[in-house]
Amino acid sequence: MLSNRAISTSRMPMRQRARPYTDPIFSGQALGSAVVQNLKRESLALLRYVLRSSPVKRVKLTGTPFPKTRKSLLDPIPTSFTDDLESELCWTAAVMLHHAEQINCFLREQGEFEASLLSGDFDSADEARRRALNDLHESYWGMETQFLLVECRDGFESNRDLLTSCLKEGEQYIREGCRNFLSLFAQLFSQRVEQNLSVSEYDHYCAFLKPTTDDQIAVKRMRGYLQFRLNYHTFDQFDLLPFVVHMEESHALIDRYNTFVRVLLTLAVTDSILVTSHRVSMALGALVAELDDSRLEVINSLTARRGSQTRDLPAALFAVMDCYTRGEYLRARDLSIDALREHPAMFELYEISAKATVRAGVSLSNPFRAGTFAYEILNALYHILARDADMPAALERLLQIAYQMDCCRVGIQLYAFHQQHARGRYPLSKDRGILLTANYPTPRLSLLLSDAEAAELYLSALDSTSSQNAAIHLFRTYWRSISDMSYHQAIVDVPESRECKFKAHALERMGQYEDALAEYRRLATFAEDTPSLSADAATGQYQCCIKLGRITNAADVLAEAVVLQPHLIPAGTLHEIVQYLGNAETDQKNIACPVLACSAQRESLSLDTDPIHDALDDFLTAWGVQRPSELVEFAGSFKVHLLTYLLRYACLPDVLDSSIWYSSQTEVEGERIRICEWLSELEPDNRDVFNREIAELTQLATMRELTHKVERSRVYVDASGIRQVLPESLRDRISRCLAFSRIKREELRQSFELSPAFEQLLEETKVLYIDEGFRIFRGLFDDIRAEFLSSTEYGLDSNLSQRIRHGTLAGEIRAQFEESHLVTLKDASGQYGENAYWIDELGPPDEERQRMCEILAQLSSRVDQTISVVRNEWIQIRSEAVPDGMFDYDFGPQQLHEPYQQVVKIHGDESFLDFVFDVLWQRTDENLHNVRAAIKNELRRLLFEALDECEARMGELAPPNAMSPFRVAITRCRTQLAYALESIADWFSIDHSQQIQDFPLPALVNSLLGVVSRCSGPSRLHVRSSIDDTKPVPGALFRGLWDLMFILLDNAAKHSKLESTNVDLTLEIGNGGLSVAVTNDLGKDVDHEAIRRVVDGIATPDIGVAVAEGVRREGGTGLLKLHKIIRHDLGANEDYLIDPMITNDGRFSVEISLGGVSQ
Amino acid sequence: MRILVVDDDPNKIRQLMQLIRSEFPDAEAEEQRSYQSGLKAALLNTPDVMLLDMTMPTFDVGGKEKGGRERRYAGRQVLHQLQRKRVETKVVVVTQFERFGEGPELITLDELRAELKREFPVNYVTTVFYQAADSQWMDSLREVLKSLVGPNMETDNG
Repeated sequence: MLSNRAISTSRMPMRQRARPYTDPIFSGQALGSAVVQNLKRESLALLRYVLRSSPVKRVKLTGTPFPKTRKSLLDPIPTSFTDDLESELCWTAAVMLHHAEQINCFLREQGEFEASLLSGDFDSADEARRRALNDLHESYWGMETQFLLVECRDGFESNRDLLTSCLKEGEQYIREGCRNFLSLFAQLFSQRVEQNLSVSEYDHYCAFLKPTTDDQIAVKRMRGYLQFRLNYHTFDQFDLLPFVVHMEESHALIDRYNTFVRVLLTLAVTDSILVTSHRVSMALGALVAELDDSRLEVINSLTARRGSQTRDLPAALFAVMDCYTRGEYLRARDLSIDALREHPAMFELYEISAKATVRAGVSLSNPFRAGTFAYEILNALYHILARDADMPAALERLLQIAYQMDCCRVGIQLYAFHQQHARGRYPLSKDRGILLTANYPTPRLSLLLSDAEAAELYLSALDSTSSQNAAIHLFRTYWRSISDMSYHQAIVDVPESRECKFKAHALERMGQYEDALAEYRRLATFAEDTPSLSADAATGQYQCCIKLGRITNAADVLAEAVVLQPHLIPAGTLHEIVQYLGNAETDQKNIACPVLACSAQRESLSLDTDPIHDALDDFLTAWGVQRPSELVEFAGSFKVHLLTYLLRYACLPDVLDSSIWYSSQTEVEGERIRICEWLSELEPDNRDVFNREIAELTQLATMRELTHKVERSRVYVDASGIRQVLPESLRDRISRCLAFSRIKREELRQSFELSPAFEQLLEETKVLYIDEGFRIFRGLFDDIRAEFLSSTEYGLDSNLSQRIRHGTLAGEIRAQFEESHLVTLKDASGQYGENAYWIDELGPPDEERQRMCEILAQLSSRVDQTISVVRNEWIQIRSEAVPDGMFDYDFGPQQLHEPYQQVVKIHGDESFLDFVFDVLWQRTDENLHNVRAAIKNELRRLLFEALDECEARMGELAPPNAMSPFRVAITRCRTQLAYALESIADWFSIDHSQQIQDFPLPALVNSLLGVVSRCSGPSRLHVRSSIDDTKPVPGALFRGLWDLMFILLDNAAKHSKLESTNVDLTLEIGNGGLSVAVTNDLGKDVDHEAIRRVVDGIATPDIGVAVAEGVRREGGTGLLKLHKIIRHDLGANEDYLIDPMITNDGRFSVEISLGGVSQ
Repeated sequence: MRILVVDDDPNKIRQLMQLIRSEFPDAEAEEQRSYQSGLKAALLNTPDVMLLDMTMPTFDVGGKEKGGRERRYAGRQVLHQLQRKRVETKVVVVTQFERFGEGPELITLDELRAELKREFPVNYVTTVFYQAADSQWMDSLREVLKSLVGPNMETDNG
């Protein structure tokens, strides 16, 4: 609605209406705050008139759109703030239109830059960037693109080099009184483009930008602006958008434009009504007419209900869409690849190319050079749409690229695509995020419109520019069906599956669920080998079944889907069906129930196995069995793929151990072995996988047998458990830490501190610089230490608390006194009960009775107080609250610098974790040494003193002849206490779960031969062994030796090509070394030459690359893995020899000798 | 009355059994030392009352058995299974902990009481805080057990 003032002035000539603004400008006066605010509220036409007809540059009304130096990027905001988004947007739109020519130039070069960057032509990208900036000069876009180029082309060290120079420049400006923006932007740009920085880590860096409820309004706005600019994907404070637009006025024109477009996209995606307001619509219309930015056209065509005319739709894209819709998938794939070569920055082409590839059922043909962004994006999209095993990794990488390329148009498109697929979008849900992925108006965007009328307007506008397009036609048919509440068949020739899918969607949207269900079922028949179609069919059937109240049917549909392909159905849907199944009276004999419970946990990466156990238990109970292996007699009742899934993924030891039908870990593992054996029959193709698992389970059982530890040791940290729960982002941080450690020039490791108060960060003239590599190392060390100490499931404090502090320690010490009746218990008032036993025994005179009671109560009190000190002060992790805690894990900067210096020698995240755990174990060892000493000395002294004093004081009161039994009791208690304290002190030694005592070689070999005879094949082995059993082998070598010998024997069984193979095994230990020799027969079909070639590569491989590659590969002989086992697991380093050969009598032999292992 | 004691601390079990024998001499008392053996006894023998520790190993420790994984909330898991199997045994949790979990997951004994009451209204009775040096827990437990025994059992005893 127009204001009174507007109505009265709207009829005045433009020149006259502009006078309040133009007059002062012509006279060179700056406009007052209120005048500027009024100006911003004017119509777009008036704004454009003022900008066009008055020398606004003279009064800097539009700031410095083309800053010559970076210092100008720090200029103040040239206008006053209206706090009205519509006015701020219209003002910015007017300024953009005023500079339309420069923006169009920029858009052209920006497109060139992005296309070259994506396809890895960095020189062309650099040239386009320079051209873009030629007349526009400095900008934050220029700065970030420079970081991105440098990182891609020259690597991390060059990125840091650029950052160092930017920080120096920023420091100079800070000294001149400017705000600290340049350093802040430079640092975060530098980090955002890094290859090694994970998204979560970058978000963590930017956490301080998030506005808080305690912020003053000015600080809140500034945080909001910075968060929008530097960490857009976490921005959710939409009320701050007016300031975001306003703040950008102080920056270069192109920064202002990029932010402006992003704000408009944000409004369109969040379905803000503002984007459809009259003023903004007018502005959008004008922008679309004068600027060559198709993204504006997308927004405009979806918001202007008049069905705006679109122009210049990319013919290549629409041709691919046409082919795709008509079911010519291979042609669509080929056309899209050709188009991608020409338009590598057109995101829609990547998506449709990946989809066409998946639908055609062919392997991906990637037209880009490996390693380029374009190559990675197409690959990632393919895996995501194919929903294959690489989907989770592809999603992660895609998001990382989205961050790296945030300064490009494609950045936000990748982010939006990631969000849709990571969250599991249901095709019919109105997810407006799809809008962000669009460069051009396309038919499918009509789904974002609220009604058929608007959709028809939108689609007819598309039709007028790209007529006879099958995609447009199909969507028009869809919308016409919705409008008429009756399905119309598509006239153009589209594949039956596609028509079927659209019909099913339309019927579902019309609420005709029974018919929709039938269509989705029909769709499933087309969906074989097409995961996206399978997902549509399964999810559609599921939704319709739920609407029709058929829960069991819904479960059957989803179970079939998840078993055939993981990642097909999102975790949210799976949890939903599990919930439904829990509430409904379902048939517990239905195998879908445990399958879905298992799949829901797996998809959500939950470690909680209870829901799987409960569903499995109900299922087994319904079939009248206790253990999964007993299902064998009912095997014919289940579909094999469902049964296999259940056995393989649900019947794991961690699930089975919750069942009451097992009374030991050994029984659980025995059951799992039986399951693996059954699985080998059900899935012969995966026999190796199951055999390997059997071998591992047997290894565990053997290790347990060899430990001979029946008592649970007291101090325990489950390092492997901690490794499993460490977030994936930590591994990314480790990679980054290792990258920093390799930078030789120390100054390149410098960053400025991001943690101080926000206000200081922006205004403070003194900037604190830190060694970024050390900062990351310290952060990693602290996080790993925190898990080591405080992890509820696996940490030290939890262990101390459960096994020592609570009760056990008190019980053990008190028991020594209780046995001699020397202590009593406290009552509710805190008074110790009378020691009736000794009062009766000693029979004191009445006058002494009370004092004796007091002395004995004091002994009880002193014992309990001493226990309390040990429990609550000594056996604690040292902290400010517990300064006497004997578990001291404080590491000052100096103490951490020493390990930090060694990081440069580390390769890989596992080695880094080993290294940090070693440092922590070393400190634990020192702490435990101190605790043991304190228990044996200080605790003993305190308790003995209490006994001595009690004895002496009682002796003063009791008759000498009556004291004798009391003295005997005291002496006995002292003796028992001394033993008990020795025993308690022994609790405080490290128990590594995998620590095995020294063991005899025959024990290992016998267990191993059992596994080999059960798992390895096809040849049956007859082993003649000669094993040295004269001395035990160090426990630490158990795993390595097991793995080494398993590989040798398994190879004999696999590759001898005999029904039955004779094997000679010799194992000797002595002289500080170990030797293993395995010789086996070879069948006459074995190609000796081929073996010789393999053998030549194994004996002396190019250590490093070959071993690293070899150990990652599965299959083959696995002989390269021997090097890794010997070097790392057995700790032989370079001191070993592997000698494989074919002997003169035609047998295959491997002799291995290694030194330095028996120490 | 049949009472099942499930705890992995021998000293605590000793004291609990002493209390049962002295206060309820006619009660049949059984002891188990892990999540597994405790749950099995509860489901197969359906005792009237169960005295249950909160944190236990999965299996009984002994011989070559090291106990499997440590279950921090074994008591809650037992309660969950009893509820699922519709076994109406009354459960008194006897714990030596005043707080459970770490960081954001940390809950106090009172919070745990409220949570268990809400989640397992049929089985869960209360939680008694055990301390080796105090007799208060004995008083509390005695009262709770008496309230669970009811008039019939008292007649038996009398």
